[in-house]
Amino acid sequence: MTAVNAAPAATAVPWRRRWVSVGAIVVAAHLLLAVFVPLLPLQSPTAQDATAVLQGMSRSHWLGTDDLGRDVLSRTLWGGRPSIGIAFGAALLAALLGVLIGTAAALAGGWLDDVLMRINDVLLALPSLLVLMLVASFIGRQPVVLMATLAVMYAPPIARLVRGATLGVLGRDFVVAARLRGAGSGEIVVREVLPNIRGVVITEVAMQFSWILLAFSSLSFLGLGTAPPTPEWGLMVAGARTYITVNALPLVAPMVMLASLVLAVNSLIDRSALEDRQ
Amino acid sequence: MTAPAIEVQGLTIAPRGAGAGSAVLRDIHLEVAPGTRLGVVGESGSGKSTLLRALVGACGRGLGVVAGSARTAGHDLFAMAEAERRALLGTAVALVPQSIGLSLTPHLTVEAHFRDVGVADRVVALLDEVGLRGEAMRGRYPHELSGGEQQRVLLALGLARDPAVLLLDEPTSALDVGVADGILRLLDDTQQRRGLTLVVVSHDLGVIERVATRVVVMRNGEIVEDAPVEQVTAAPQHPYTQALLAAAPSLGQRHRRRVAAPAAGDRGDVLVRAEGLTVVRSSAEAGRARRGQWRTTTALDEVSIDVRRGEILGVIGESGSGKSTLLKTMCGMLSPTAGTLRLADGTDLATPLRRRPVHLLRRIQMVLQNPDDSLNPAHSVRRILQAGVALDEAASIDLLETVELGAAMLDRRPAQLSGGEKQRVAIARALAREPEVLLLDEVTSALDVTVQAAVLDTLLDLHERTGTTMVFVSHDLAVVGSIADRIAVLRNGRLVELGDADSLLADPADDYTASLVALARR
Repeated sequence: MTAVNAAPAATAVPWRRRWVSVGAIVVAAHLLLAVFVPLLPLQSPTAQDATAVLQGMSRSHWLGTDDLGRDVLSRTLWGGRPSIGIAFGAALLAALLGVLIGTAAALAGGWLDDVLMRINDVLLALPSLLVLMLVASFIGRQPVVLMATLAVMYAPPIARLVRGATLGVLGRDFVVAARLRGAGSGEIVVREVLPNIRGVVITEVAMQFSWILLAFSSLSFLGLGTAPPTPEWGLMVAGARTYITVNALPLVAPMVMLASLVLAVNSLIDRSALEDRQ
Repeated sequence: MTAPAIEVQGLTIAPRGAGAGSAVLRDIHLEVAPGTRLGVVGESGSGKSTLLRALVGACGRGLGVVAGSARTAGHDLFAMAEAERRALLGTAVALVPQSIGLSLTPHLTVEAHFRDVGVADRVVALLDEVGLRGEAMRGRYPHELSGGEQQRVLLALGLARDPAVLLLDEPTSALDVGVADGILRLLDDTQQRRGLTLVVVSHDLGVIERVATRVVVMRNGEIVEDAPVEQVTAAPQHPYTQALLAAAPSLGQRHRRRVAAPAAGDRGDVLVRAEGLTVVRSSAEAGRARRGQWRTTTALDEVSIDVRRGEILGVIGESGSGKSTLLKTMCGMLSPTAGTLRLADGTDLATPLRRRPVHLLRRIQMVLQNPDDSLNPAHSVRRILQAGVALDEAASIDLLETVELGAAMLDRRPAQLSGGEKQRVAIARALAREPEVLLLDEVTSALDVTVQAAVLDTLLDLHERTGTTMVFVSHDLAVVGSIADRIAVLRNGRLVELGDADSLLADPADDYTASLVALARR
């Protein structure tokens, strides 16, 4: 076609870009906080004070205290560590699994493709929270176990996406050119395929990170994730809900943190999807 | 004199929000009298398709009219309300779109397309008019039609509501020469019978010569020449038109004088020998077909052919002739079903790609047709060249210079290269392995004529310097004839004729070859 070089669509959405960079700042703040919270001059998140239970905001407790008189601000800021750590690890593991299975299925084709994808379908059909609860009850709730289970349960959508994207790339001539120079399957995946599907894979993994974060918090909420008295958002919400009419802060604070992180991650995905399209 | 059918005055179209500097069309003045035929010729990016769209009052996405006006069949289409403009499409002016594969709705029958424009009662008559058997065709789906038939259906759809002005965008560019010839003849007849005002856009001056009496040459959004066809072909005024004419290969004319015969020695020995080579392809090989969907075609049928050391062997044929299959079999992407394919030293080329040792892979390199697809968009030119081969920086630069590119290209990515540059990089990548045989699959068909001429130049230079044996496959007899030493003609998987290029073109022995030569001479 002749020059129908439309102006890039991005110039039309400056407000959207600003919203996106807010997302980046929030995500960065969450990550920094999770890493550096031990350095902050906070009260101990586990120290109880029977004389100051379910207090409102005050000089000594900025966000008040919970039912055991623990400082809500401190617990809220510490509470992201287990969730973010496990979700991050699980998302990376899920990405690894998904990319391995997806590219293998696409490249092999035939029966291997069928077998891998049917297993994938079965995993997709299982309710992940139920599986997590079973694993936590019968195998244990050590972080490694939960991380691995989360990774297995959240890898299938990534695998399916990677398989589709890989098939698209495999049909292109530069892959033929690579085969003609004698490149093996591994080289084709690493050199020719992955650089071209990086965008969609990162987007999908970030999306799964949000889901994993919520799943793990739900598990803690149900009492099967992090064990008390470790501060964790889901666990805090679970403990505070009984006293919601007395003091809502111990419940609202961790919810705001969790929601803001998920929202920020999703807005970052929006941007990468936007950039992919250009 | 009656009012002109098309009247364009000072039309300038530019991207919205951009200055006039980046205009796609610049100050176009054009007048076309009713019942005449105009050809618009230019290379990609010249603005010819944008001009054609402007004649139906449309701009490309993100583009807007900056100045000027365009009146078609007496209507100022840009000034009208959208509903009003739509009502005139098809009745006052009709545009027949370019990409035949994408212009018919896949799930609708031919008849349904006509029903949509409100002429269900005249389907058969219209199809008959464009040379199709209307009764038989009306119930078919687009995928059941050949490229030529699809083009005819599109033409019939354009004619359906009797427009005064008919616009065609690249009506033959995706078709084989024989089929294209039929379409051009049909256009000729239809225009005369209906007294249409015809505007045909093409990158191919040969097509314009056949259907138009007057030609407009476009470049960078401007009209550089506007004259009767005979005048343009006989005595082009503008330097660009002269370059365009010089670049277009014509039959029986060497791309340029060969300076000297390539490095002698064992030139003339057989390097690759195919005997009774037969390749049956199943749909499973063609794509990832599932079980139970075997459909086989004999893509090559007992072809015996020698490739001699140091020669350029041209292979010509229409789509489906087996020319690409021949190359794919040589490089191992396909395996022969019967017959033998060997290198001169006895190495069996029936070995599929996966089992070929690296030193054998190196000996036979292929350059693929579409340069937009054959370079990994994620890699720099350096990475593309150095993939799987020990090549230092200096050697990479040398290689780029061999294909007339510079060291500056090394850090660029394919998206930053033009079509011709991409194809040169693809050729350089093949050369990096110092192949004995270079297989070239339609390497110039995606390029503009002037770029094609430059790439052919590069290939000939290379051939003179290194004496690399080349197999050059193309559907374009003029291109093959301009650079090949010998030509093989394939048809439906069979070798029809093989001979010295000059004598084959001058005096074809086979009827089919003769018809190809005759078509190419027009």
